[in-house]
Amino acid sequence: MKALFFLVASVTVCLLLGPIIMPLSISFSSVETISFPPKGFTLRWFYNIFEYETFVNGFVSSSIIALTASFLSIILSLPPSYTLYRYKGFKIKGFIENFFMLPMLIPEIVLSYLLLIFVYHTLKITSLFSLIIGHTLIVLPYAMRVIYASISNLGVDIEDAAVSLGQSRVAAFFDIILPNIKQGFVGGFLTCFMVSFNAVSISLFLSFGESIPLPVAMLNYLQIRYDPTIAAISTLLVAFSAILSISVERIVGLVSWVR
Amino acid sequence: MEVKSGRVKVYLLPLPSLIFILVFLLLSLLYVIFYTPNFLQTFIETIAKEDFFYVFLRTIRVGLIVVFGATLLAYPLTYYVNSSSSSVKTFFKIIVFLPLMVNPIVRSYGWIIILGREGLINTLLSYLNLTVEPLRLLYTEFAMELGLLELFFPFMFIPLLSSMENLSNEVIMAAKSLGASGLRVFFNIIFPLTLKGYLTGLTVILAGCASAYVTPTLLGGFRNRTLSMLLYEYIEIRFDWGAATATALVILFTVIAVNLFFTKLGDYLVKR
Repeated sequence: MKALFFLVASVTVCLLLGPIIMPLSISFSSVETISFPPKGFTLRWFYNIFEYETFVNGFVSSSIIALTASFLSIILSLPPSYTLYRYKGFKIKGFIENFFMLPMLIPEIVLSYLLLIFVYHTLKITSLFSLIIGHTLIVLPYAMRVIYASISNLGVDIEDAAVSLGQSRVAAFFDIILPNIKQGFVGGFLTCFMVSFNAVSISLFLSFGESIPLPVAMLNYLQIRYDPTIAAISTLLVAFSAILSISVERIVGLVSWVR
Repeated sequence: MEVKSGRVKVYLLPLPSLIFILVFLLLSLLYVIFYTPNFLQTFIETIAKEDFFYVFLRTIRVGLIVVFGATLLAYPLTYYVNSSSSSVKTFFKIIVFLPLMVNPIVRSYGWIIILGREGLINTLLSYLNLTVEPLRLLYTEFAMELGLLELFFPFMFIPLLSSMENLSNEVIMAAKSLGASGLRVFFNIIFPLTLKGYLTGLTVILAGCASAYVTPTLLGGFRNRTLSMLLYEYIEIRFDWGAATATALVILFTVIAVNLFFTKLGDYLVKR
């Protein structure tokens, strides 16, 4: 019995970690194709990333989109969270909660197609703004979940206390509520940034011209060349993800955002 | 009076966000349907094609195989992790959580290195003199299933582990002390009591496999197309937006049907 568990545990660890470790292992290899085991040592692939402008620009575009989308989704999820927090007996509470989870039920690829036709081709919104709208929709449920969870942990009385002492509702919101959910803010922001930065199909469908996000640049590169440059980018991205996820872990706690 | 006017305003606060979702999600869905000329006819023509049927079948089959693999790994693992010390628990939670933070392209690329012609497995096999020619592992349905299993495993592990955590150890002990065999304990006690978490994971995996794009494209190759790849092909290669709309709707319906069916099934079975 013990042996069976050990077997299953090791298979799972290999399954989950293998694909992440592999790119790291060949990113310093001097062989020009994707081959294992790595041979020699070179930093060429890392130089390559910075010489190929599309990757650097892609990183910048992806960051701009992810920052804007995270900011917008937090702004959009604050008011409904506040309403749900103030009125526990709100009649359409369940409806609002479910409504904000809708973007999660609709698959990313379907959403990407809808926005391509409606927002990009029909409303003629530029590629960059279409991308921002798409990414905001995708991260909105995550933002809503984190913000609503942190705001509903507050008692209603602290706000009422401020109001009964003569502060206006609006001032009480900014002086009392906001500082108390700072943690949820930062955690929600980092989670949204991460989800947006890693979203591929929405970026693939909506990027035209100048603003090509990093994942799309990587997919395009993989179609023409087969050298370990992508391994080098992967190494940098894994380090980037690790730093961000340690921050998320420190701030919101492990796995709180996956169901 | 003061309180009442405040209340009216608070009622209205969710409006801007609701309108945002309404316009960009629901309105765009309706627009796309009405934008297609002869929508119903195009829809029927698209899904009636033999090609489409095979792609649909493959998508479902891949989803079921991935669910099977995830079940096989997740049940023993969560049971073991749940009964282990807290440091083992934390270790596995981190291992499972980590991949979720890494871009799916990076993870698929990792699989390319493992499964490719000069990849880890083929190098190992030829080193051991087990094969003469490299095996074709990449660009197969199997590669796609491995990639998807790795992509979605955390979504089975996490809800199942939390179900296991709610399961009291005394019930299992009681059954064992009354002479129930291991299998009997599993089917009569553990399985029914963790069903809710299991169905949550199963739903996420089936819905995810029906709509994943990057992993099937990079690992499955053109011959093993799934619905999402077909959708991409209709848009970017064949420029057939009518057929693309039909495909997108089939993906959407499949995902919604899976969600509704298993949520209802879960409620029904747990109530019983």
